[in-house]
Amino acid sequence: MLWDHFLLRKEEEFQKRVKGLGLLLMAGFGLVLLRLIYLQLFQGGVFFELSARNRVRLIPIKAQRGLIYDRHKELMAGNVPSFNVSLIPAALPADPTARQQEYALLQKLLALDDNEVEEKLNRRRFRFFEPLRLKGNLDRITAALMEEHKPELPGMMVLTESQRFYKNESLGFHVLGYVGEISERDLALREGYQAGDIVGQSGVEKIYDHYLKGRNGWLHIEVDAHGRQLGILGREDPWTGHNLVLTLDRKLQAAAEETLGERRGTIIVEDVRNGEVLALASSPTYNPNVFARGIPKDEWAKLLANKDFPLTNRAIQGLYPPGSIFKIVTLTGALQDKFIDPQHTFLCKGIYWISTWPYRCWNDSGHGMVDARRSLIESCDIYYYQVGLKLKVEKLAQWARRFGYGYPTGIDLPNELAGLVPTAQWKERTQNMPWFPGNTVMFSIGQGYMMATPMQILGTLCAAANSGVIYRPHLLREVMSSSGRIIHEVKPEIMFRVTASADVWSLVQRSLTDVVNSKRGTGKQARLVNIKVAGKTATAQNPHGEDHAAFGAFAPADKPEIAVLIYLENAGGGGAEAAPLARKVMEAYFGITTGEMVEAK
Amino acid sequence: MESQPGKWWKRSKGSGWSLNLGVDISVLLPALALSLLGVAMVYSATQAKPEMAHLYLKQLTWIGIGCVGMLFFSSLNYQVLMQRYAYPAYWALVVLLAILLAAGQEVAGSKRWMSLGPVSLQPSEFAKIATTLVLAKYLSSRQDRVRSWDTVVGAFLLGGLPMLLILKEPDLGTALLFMTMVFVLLYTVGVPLKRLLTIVGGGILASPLIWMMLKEYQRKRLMVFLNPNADTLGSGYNVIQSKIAIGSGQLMGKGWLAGTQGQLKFVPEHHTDFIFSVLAEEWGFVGSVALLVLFLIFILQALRVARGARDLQGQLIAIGLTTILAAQVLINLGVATGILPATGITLPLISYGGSSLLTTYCIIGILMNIWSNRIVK
Repeated sequence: MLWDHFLLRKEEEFQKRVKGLGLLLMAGFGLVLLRLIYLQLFQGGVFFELSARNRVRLIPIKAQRGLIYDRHKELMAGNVPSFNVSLIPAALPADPTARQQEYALLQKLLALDDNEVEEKLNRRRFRFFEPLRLKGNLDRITAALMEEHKPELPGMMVLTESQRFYKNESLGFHVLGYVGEISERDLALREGYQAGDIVGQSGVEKIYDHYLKGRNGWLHIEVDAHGRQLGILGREDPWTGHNLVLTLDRKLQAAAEETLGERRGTIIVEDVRNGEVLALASSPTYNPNVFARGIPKDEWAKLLANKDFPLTNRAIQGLYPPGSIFKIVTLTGALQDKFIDPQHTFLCKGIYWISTWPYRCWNDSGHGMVDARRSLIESCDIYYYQVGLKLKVEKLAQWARRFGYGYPTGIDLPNELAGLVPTAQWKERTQNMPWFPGNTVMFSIGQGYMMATPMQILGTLCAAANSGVIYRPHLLREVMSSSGRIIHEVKPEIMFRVTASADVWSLVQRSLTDVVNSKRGTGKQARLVNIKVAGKTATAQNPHGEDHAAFGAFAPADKPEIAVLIYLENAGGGGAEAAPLARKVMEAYFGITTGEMVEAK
Repeated sequence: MESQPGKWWKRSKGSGWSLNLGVDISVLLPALALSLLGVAMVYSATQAKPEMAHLYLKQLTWIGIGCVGMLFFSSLNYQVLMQRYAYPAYWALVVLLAILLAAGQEVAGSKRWMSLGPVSLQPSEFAKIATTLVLAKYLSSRQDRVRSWDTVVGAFLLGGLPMLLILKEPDLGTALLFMTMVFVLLYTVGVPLKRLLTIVGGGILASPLIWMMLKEYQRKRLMVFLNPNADTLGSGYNVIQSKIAIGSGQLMGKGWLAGTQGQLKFVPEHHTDFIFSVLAEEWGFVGSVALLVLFLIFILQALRVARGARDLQGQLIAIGLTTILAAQVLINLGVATGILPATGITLPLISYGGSSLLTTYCIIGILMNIWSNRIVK
């Protein structure tokens, strides 16, 4: 009874104290409320004025883009200072006529199209307080002129920033890529970017943009009603982007581009021992500095209409029949899977009949009795027709895949194509027609439906050189911070390992050496004086015109360092047109590495 | 539904866990309304910086995670929670805070964050709950000796241990919350007000000593509080800009996404500590009062839970948790409006931050459980 009474008293005491607590809290809220009444209702007008006069502008300080070097740390892409004119939409006059006047004046001073300012403004739907770039790459006189007109142009600012500059102009265009202002669409899709940011649009500039871009800083400046700067209130420093060291060799790249000249096609040089791409030329090419300066509309339209597609990187975006270089794949597969032995001969009479359909050898008079070695050296088509018919389409497709056909190589460039390895099911599905033996014979010599990128075709040479090992081709060696610290180092990565016996590889390698070095070889024109070259020619028919000429090589034949692929569109025969170019490129490589000129006889 | 206090749960499932979907709307509804208001504010506060523009989605995700935590705690009988988990959780968090101090990574000058893969958590947030539980358990076990000094000292030791660790992070604001909570619990459990005031007086006398212990920036903040106009670009700058933002909202505000102060990034940290300034600027006095009313309803409902609790333990838990939330709200609003010095405390349910949201929802869950186990008269 007494205990109950005690508990009850305790309970009363507790309830009393909780009530007290509640009152205390309400008093706290009351205090905040009073404060709000004071700030918002009594002083609201004053503070509103203050906020309206709070003319602090936040000007992004664009980060310096990282530099791009070749493998010997020679600069390929740097930055130069430039002026641009930007507009802060929120600072424009509220009155429509005054606004139109400002647009007109801006268009006149900057030599822009009518309504261009308004169009640009309309494209920006948010972020009214961030500067909108009207025109970049201003010369000093225009920049000074704009500064003069500043009082009449509220919201206008002349900003200094760094502009991409490619020292060697178009050299390495398809590897480096180009830069441009980020599109409104990308701005919405990608995290961590601001309006007006310059981003990579293709090449390593695009794929490694996250390394290169750095991070923007901010400048808080105070301005008066006329937009004149009164002082700097604060600053967040930008972070300079990281630098890239590529696998490319600038001199070899120059030699490759010079060798390729005006021809439509591509030249790739790769270190077979680790997949480093030493040179990658694609022609026609373009000067990325045009983009960095801001490409004029009509120039852009012309570029898009160009039937030779200068922006296409033919090494990874061109799809071609691999032609006779594919014979390496067919032969390796047939020997390894014991469909034939190396001594087995087939008769070539220059023409091969499948029922009533004739399939010709490139050599009309025929090669006679041909064994495995001769078939490669003299590139006898009819040998491969018969080998192909033994392998059948499934096996051919399987071996093509083992060599990496049908898969993108994964090189560090954007928008690489995968090519096509045809199968019976594929033909059934896409063309609603059965697979014919005639399709198989074309497949066996790398023609017909088979499609590959030159980068994939180069893989076949790498496999032959390395007895089956194909490294993933790559362009990046390392990423360095602006202070020189190494952020990331690229390690060689084995992409495919084609399994075949040592005898098979040895036979393939000896045959390929003879393609270049024997009297009857098709690739004699790639011969070097003191270094043994192995290679394979290809002359690929195509329904759209003259044959494509191609030549793949590796050297030195007994201890391979590099693989080279030449692929020329509509140029004619591989032995006559492509092989001499391979020789020139290899001369350049060995001349560069040994320090002395290597001359052909 | 009369039963023996403290025993009845033994008759239910052994784990003390039974899914409780009988949600107590009166606490939850204002909390949900505040959370959604918070998402709208975080959205507005982050749109100017593209790299933060997606934070509102994260905030929404955390609300979802918070609701799961809430359901968990509302389904776990609080007496079981106290019996089995209060002390283990408390000690685990104390150890975690110590590890964080010793080996944690410093972010923006303090070691508050613990990185767990993609998310960073603030153990100090969870320590709020664990410390409250432990204190409630301690004090209810010494119910008959509350007036003795050793009870008071014990409570200060229990509350002081995590508090000191958090103070050392350094996070002055959160540490103050712990102190407030200890005082309020001692008061409600029946310690005479005079004794508590004596302690406060002692603290004031010891303040020169504390001043020496404070970090440079904490001293600066106090100084700035005394005269905000002295340092317009340092800590005082935040407060002035926040006051301009709030005041310029006037009666009706400038409209959502249209606040020039917030959008221009004059107010720093305005998606966390100063988020109230965004709301007050964009939605004006009307919006600010609506926020105050929602918080008041939320807190008074939480106190109602405390008054209805079945036992002293439940009462103290509810009081302690409510105190922490209420103090946080009042301190944050006080800082934003310039009544209090800047302490770096977030506004519960509104500010951006996963740990804070999760903690608040867990608190709601515990309150719901205490309420559903009340003695219905």
